[in-house]
Amino acid sequence: MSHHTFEIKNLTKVEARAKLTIKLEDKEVKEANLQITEASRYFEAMLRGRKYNEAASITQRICGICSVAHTIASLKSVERALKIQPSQNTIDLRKLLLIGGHLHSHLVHLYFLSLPDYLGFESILEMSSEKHELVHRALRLEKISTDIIRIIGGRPIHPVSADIGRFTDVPNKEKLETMLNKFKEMKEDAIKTAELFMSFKTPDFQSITRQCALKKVGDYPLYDGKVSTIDGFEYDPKDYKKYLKEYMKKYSTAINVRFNDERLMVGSLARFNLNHKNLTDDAKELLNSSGMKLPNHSPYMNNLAQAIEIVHFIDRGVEITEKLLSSGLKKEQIKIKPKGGVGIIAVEAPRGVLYHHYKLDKNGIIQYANIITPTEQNLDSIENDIKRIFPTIFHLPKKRITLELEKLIRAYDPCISCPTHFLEVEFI
Amino acid sequence: MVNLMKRSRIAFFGHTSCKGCFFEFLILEKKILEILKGAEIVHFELIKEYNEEGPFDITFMDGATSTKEELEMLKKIRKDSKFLIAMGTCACWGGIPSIKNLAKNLRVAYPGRVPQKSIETTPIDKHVRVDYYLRGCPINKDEAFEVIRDLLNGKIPREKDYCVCVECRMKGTRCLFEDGIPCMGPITYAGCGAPCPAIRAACDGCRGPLPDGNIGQEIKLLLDYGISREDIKRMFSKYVSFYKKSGEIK
Repeated sequence: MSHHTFEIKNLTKVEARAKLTIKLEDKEVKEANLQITEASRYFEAMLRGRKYNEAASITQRICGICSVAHTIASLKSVERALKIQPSQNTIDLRKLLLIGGHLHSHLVHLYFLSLPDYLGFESILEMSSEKHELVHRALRLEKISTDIIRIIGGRPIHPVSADIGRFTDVPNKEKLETMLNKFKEMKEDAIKTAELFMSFKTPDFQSITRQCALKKVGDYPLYDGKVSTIDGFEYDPKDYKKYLKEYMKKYSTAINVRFNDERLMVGSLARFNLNHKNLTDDAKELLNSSGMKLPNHSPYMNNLAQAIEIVHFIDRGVEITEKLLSSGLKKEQIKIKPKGGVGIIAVEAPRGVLYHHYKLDKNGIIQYANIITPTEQNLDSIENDIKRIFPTIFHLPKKRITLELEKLIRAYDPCISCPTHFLEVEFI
Repeated sequence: MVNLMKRSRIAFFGHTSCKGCFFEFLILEKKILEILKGAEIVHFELIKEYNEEGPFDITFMDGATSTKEELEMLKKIRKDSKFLIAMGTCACWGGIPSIKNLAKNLRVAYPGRVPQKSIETTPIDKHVRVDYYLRGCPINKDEAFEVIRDLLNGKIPREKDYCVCVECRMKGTRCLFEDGIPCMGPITYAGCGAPCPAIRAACDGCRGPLPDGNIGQEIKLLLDYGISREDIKRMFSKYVSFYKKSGEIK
């Protein structure tokens, strides 16, 4: 019997550090361990003893690319615990901020992390001379997405204006008009992006998992809704502990999550499968012309789902901004009386369902915190997919095997900082 | 300092952090292409498949040091780098990840076993010499660009040694104190361009304490504005940068 190990010591173009070790016995894959080597970050422990009004600004630092989603999840959880109901204007502005965050995250993932793989370049930097127009389009889109977050949040990474029950300041008519123009300015480039990702051939590889996303009648929800599985089971986010099981693997610093002991998948593809009927017309048209069959179980299609989502989010951004322009925004003041309570909520982060759960004492001090990030929910599925795809690429040269495995992993858009509260691939 | 005759080699490394500073740097947009005219980014695992080993001319070191592996890597990175920049509040001060040092029980963050032996989370200058502090949570991309531009032009970049209030004045932002909102701007390093007060959110001191900041007077102000001593301690311990100053809260 021959034992053999294949390792990628340092997975690149993923957010933070991880390593992949594949153990083989007679060419059969026994184990595929995605070892997150990022340091443990202890956010839930750090939150204990901190005050309710610090939670959002601390937890947004879990992740630099999805800080908007963490901010909003945290605020919602604190509000639930304190029984505060924000105004419709605040909710609409939060939805816009989330859209800005999703646009930024998807654009960085598609253009900076995934595109070079498909075009055969080492990085977007290497593409700058040969693919001049494409690189300029990437930078242009990324810049506008961050401008949108800046207008509402004050700055693109770790926005500061979103507050409990309100915004510290709200964009005036002129700023809303600027934002409306920015959304419109992105549209043509966004459609080209979706068409580009449609043109790439991806392996015919299916991965059957319990896909989960937020669901709400008539909506493609990011801000609220019930958690729904692809086969139609629904639950309130507050009951997450009944269905989701968190556990650790001995080789990794990341938390893994399963649904009723089944593998999960969350993110753009899951949202697509569950909510595609509520995409905007232009996004639906792109979906139809792509020939993508739904429900879809190929993790590679997550990239295309992200690209089409960009068009959808732009359209939604235009709608919400126009609504706010006609209603007008007023700065709100709010008086908060700290009290005890529990807040469990979920939002759609760019990579999927994100849960924040806090328990406050009567003085508003955090007694307990639990956060379940999207990547934690995807880790088991990524490992299982690697196990299954490896025999089909085993005959290839080592460099190609690494690239093919990285493509698969990157398709899930794992965010490694998040579950350490993620990749090096090592072939020993 | 940096050899003008050949293309400078720039490297980016990340340890314990949210990597937000990398994403802030990537928003530089066309300026990145401008940098690439005079330099080469040879190591940046977030966006590059092939990452070269040292020596490096300019190294951006993001994140705090919180494991033995990170500590060993950090020492090697210092050895390989001509000019080492501590990138962001985690690298400069310890930042949000070092709240961990103050937490009573770390086990509660994980279901079951704590996954690895963690060492005290520290700023990188506890272990190695730093040539420039690029402060902020996140950094300011324009400051990062200026530092690279200066170095490529053979100039040593100068840190801004004044407080956030100066930048609020330059922008014409109304002082938050005047609206009854207590702010840490008076004792905090500038260089961020004061985006937070501009949107009526208080400066929370992410860039850390100015060496000659009047901490005593700031504490008095915060108390006058109705902030409790306990809450001031919390404010000072958020990025841990002001934590050592909490002894002055009497």
